[in-house]
Amino acid sequence: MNKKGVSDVILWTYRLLILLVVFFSIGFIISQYGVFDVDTKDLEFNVLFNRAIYSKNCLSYEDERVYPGIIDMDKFNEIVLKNCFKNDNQGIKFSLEGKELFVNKDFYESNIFLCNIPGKGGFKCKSKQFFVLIKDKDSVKSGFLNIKVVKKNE
Amino acid sequence: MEWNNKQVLYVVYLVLIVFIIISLINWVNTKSKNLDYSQEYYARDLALLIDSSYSSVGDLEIKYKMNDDFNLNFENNKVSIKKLEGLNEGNSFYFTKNEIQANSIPERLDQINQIVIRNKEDGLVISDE
Repeated sequence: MNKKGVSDVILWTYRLLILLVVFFSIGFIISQYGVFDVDTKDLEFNVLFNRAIYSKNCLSYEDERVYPGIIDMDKFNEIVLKNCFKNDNQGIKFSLEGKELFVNKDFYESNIFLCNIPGKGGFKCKSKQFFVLIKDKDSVKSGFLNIKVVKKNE
Repeated sequence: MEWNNKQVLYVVYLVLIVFIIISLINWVNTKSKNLDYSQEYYARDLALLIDSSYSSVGDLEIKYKMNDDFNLNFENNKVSIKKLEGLNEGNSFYFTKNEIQANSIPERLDQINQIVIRNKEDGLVISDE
């Protein structure tokens, strides 16, 4: 191979290297910005929290209309909560005015220590505190409702 | 006609650009038609939509359109969705049923591309019209 031939080989090797860098860069950028999985973790928890506060069939006080954010103490019992959150793949703990109630208590207590284990068979947990008004018989007072949910990953 | 180095380089660049654009379009097209992804999306979206509907304070009616025909199953507090295509296993996602109010949720709806979710005084109703 003469001198020109050698320089051509070096030049084309250099160009091929640039080509590979361009290809891998494009692949890397797409893989970083492409969304290929559906992550609904926060939404799942917030939908449950909102049901407790907003639904007339759960804890919200109701006379002629529903009062979202006002908790009816008559509804704050395990029967209402159990029927309001019917799902065998989650456990929920409600705390209000020093009173603790559970939905799927066994599930909650056996899996609360396994929070944040990713993948199928794992569990995810979230807790949230709400400032609420509490309607107890004829009196209304303020307080905090704490909800903690343990969910099985799907 | 004899090509010089510069001309060859421009042709290579042109071919490279066309190749990258075609690969990109093809890749995006394949991903967008990914059946597993769309089934996973619809299963989660519908389950969470049912969950959210229970929280509505007033009357609610949602018409939910899908971009293809699917078989839907609502058994055991779970939305399962499957398109009759090859060895497709389908996808599913749990929803949290409110058993205090009346529910009219069918066990299955076959080959539909639209469902209607209503939450009114008489309870939550899911139907295909």
